[in-house]
Formats: sequence, C-alpha cells, structure tokens
Amino acid sequence: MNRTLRNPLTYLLFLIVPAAFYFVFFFYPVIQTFRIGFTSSNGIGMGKFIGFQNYVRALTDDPIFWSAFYNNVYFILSSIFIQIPIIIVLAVLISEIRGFRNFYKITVFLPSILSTAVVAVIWRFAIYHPDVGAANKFLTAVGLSKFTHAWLGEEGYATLAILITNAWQWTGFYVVLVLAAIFSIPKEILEAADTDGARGFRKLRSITVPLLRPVIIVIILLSITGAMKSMDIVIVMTGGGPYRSSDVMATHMTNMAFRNGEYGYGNAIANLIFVFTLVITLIFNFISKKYGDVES
Amino acid sequence: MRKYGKLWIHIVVSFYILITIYPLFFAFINSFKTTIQVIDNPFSVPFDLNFANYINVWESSKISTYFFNSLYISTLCSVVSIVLAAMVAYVISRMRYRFANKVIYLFLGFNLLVPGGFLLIPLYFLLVGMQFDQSSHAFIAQLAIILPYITFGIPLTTFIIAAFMKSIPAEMEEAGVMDGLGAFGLFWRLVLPLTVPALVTVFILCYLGNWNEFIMANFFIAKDKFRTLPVGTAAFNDTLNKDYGGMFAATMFSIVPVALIYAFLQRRIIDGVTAGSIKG
Repeated sequence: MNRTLRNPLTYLLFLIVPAAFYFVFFFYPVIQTFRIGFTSSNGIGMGKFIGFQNYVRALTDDPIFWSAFYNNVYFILSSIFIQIPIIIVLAVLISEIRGFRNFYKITVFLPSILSTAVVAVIWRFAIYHPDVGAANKFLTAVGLSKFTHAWLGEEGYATLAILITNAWQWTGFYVVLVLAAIFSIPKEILEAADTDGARGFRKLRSITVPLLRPVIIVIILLSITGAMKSMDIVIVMTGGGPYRSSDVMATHMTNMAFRNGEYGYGNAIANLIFVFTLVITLIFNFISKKYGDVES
Repeated sequence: MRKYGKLWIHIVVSFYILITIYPLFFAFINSFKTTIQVIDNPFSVPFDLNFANYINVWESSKISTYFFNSLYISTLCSVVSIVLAAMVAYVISRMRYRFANKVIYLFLGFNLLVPGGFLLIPLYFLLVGMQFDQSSHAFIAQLAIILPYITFGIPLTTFIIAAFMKSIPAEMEEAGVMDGLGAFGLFWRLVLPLTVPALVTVFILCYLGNWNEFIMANFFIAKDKFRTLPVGTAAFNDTLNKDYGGMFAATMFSIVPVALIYAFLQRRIIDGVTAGSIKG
C-alpha cells in the first residue's frame, strides 16, 4: 500500500506536465511583472533598470493614474454601501417565500454566467443609447427629460453607468450566496427569535444579519478583488473615455503598455494594483475583526 | 390570509427580476428586427420571427468563425486543464508525501491571490516571443490564448477535485492495490471514475470561464479570423457599421448556448460557480 502511494517516480510523472504549464505561464510572468516594473522597457529589448522612477511617476506625476484609482475606489464603495444592502434585502425576501423561490433564484443568477463583454455590448445600447436606450426613454416618460444624458459619452456619468451595469451582472450571484447562508442558519435560532417576539426588521437586524456576517465578509472581499481587476466591462463600454475619465487602474495599465508601448510603466501599474489590493484587503480584515470583537 | 401577506414580497422581487431580464429581453426582441425598426420602435415585440439577422451575421460577419473558435478553444482548454488538474489533485490528495503536497498547495494557492490582468504584459511578451501571433495557422495563432487558459484553469480545478478525492475511502484503494493496481492504475481505473461528479462540475466552471473570457483573447490574438466570440461581438459594437439588429443577433450567439445549458443544469452550475468563487 505505502509503496504504491509513495513512489517518487510516479509522483514526478504526474506532476511534470502541469508544473511545466504553471511555471512557464504563471510563475515566470509573475517574476517578470515584478522585474519589468523597475525598467524603462518599451517593448524593444528589455529596457534599463531605473529603480523606482515608474512608481514615482505613477504616484506623483500621472493624473490619470489617480482618477483611475478613484474609479476603482468608487467600484468598491458602491458595492459595499449600496449593492450589499440590496443583496441582503433581496436574499432575505426570497428566503421568506416558498412559491417561485427557485425561479427567482435561477433568474437572478443568470447574468453572472454570461460574458461580461457581451453584457457590456447589450447595456451600451439597450440602456444607455441616447435615443433608444431605456434610461433616457424612462426619464422622458416620467417627465424628467431634463435629466437625460448621453450616459457613456459624458464625463460625470460614464463611470456611474459602468458601475450600474457591473452591479446588474453580479447582484444576483451574491444573492444566491447569501441565500445559501440563510438556509444554513439553524431553524432553532429563528424559532427562538420568533418566540421572543422578534419580528420583521428587528429580527433581520438583530438575528439574521449578525448570523450572516461570515458570508457578508466573503462578499465584500470578492467585491474588492473583483473591483480591482475589472477591466473588460470598461474596455467594451467606454474604452476608458470620455477623456480617460472612466479608466480604472487595469485599463490604464493596458493603455500604457499596449497603446503607448510603455511596458515598464504599465508593469509598474500592475504591481501597484497588486499592492493596493493587498493593502485594502488587509485594512478591511483589520476593521472587520475589530468591529466583530466589539459586537460579540 | 397568510398567503396574501407575502404578496408584497413577490411584487418587490418580481420588480428586480424584471430589471434582470429586461436588457436580455431587449436584445432578444431586437435581434429579429432591421436596423430601421430598431431605431423606430425598439420596444415593439416582433410577432413574425425574422431570422435574417442571424443568417446574415452567421454567414457574412464571421460570427460563425468566432463561434467555432470559441467552441473548440473552450472545450479543448477545459478538458486539458481538468486532466492536468486531476493528476495534481490525485497526487496531493492520495499520495503520501506530506511536505511536498503542502508546498504544492501553497504554490497553487498563490495563484488565487494574484489579480487577473496582473500578468497581462509579461504574458504578452512571452507569447509574442514564441511568435504565435505571426502564424497564419489557426491553431498555432490561438495557442496564445489556449496555453494561458489551460494554465489558469488548473489551480481552482485542482482544489475542487482534490477536496472531492479526499472523501474517497482508503479501503477502496487498498482493495485496488490487492488486485494489483499500481499508482497509475489506481488513478485511472479507480479514483478518476469515482470523481466524475466533481469533474462535470469543474468542466462547466472551466468551460464558462473560457467561453466568456475577453481580455486575453482581445490582446493576444492579432488576426481577426482567429478571434473568439466575445471579442468578435465587442468589435461589432465598435465598427462603424450601424447594423443594430445584427449586433443583437451576434450577442445571442454567445448568450443562448449558455442559457440553454443553464436551463438544464441550473443547480449544478449554481453550486459549482459559487463553490468556485468562495474557494477563489
């Protein structure tokens, strides 16, 4: 028995091909990203080592980098403070009813398995088209025609429009996660709450939401990492426009690298995205732990 | 009485369902209209299903090429990812090398920390260095995305399969060894067949990921005819032609297959995708 499952040759044979893939197309690029970020590489040759110049440039001398960074932050904040309450309310509501529950669950989940690029193509037209899009048609119909906009073409609205599309695609996915968590709450607790006279909002606030804390933390973490890496939706919906106002860090990175040929600088941005993601995640972990201790 | 007490919940939830369905329904009904009809009255429901747009984009706008490119790339990459991942999963869940197995776990886990897009530039360099983009042969040009797709499919797939393989009782293996199976025989004849339910789940997961992938397909493939469906559909949006009906028909070629599979396998897909995301 032990000899069969402790055979170094088999062990290596099983691992050699996957390891080759993993090292060539994952580890090597990881090391390269780190390295090229410190060079002036422009695609021809490997570029000179220039220390922290790229990073200094991004942090002090590149207004688009910061506007892109703030767009990422908007993504995160809107999902924590707007999207998550909606998700929780929807999930609790769906859990309260029997009829159609599966239908609701299946339907809200659907957008999350579709291609983001294709979703973006549809939204660009179906919702945001200045003439036939639903957003302007709706505003005109309810007599608010002065609020109509060329949503994706105006600086103040392009990012908002992208945020809403992104929320549309992922809300249902999170609703299903929260639903699963609600159904795993022991029945006794909810019954005990009922006997103690907790009802409606009170029950939601004091019983259900605290018990859902772990899944809410997971959702926030997924939203943070999702927001930091989002780029396809921006590329397809606005291409970062107008005037780069809807760029996020990742699209700024690809613009610098693939459009301007500044590979060194682009990689420096990639590294900054990685560091920021790590820092924001750590800060969030710290806050949630502290907050959790006070509560329990 | 109690039944009607919950009516307001149905109304609120249905409102959200409407928001979810609306854009897709809009795209669907307008995929049967001519561009003039789309602009004149985008909200009318066409009662005669006119498939002209579908036939048109399928034949003349290369959507058929993109579709089959996506189909075979997604299938191939998912299958290879899963075979490789199953091998790794077998090793780390069943073979008795504690330390080495831990190291492999850590290595794979590291992948889940790295944000997508992070590796885009060096990967691009690497693949350009291998000169895939110069090739005029479809498969070789598409290796530029096939190889990374396979690689990025491995870590999560491995975790899910390994978790499943751990639950196979050791007694079955012992019986297998008694019957004279070696490590490879155990894997191929005993463990792998028992893992089929997990394999189906990860196949769906991998397949969806590859079918929907846009970023790498967009940047790593130079020639138009080698592109995949999401890139082709997005390009439809950017080009100057104002064939709106055709554009919506093109989106349907991406959405309808996924929706159909989803209609049959919802539970599996929901469980797989949510499990995958939490592990990730």
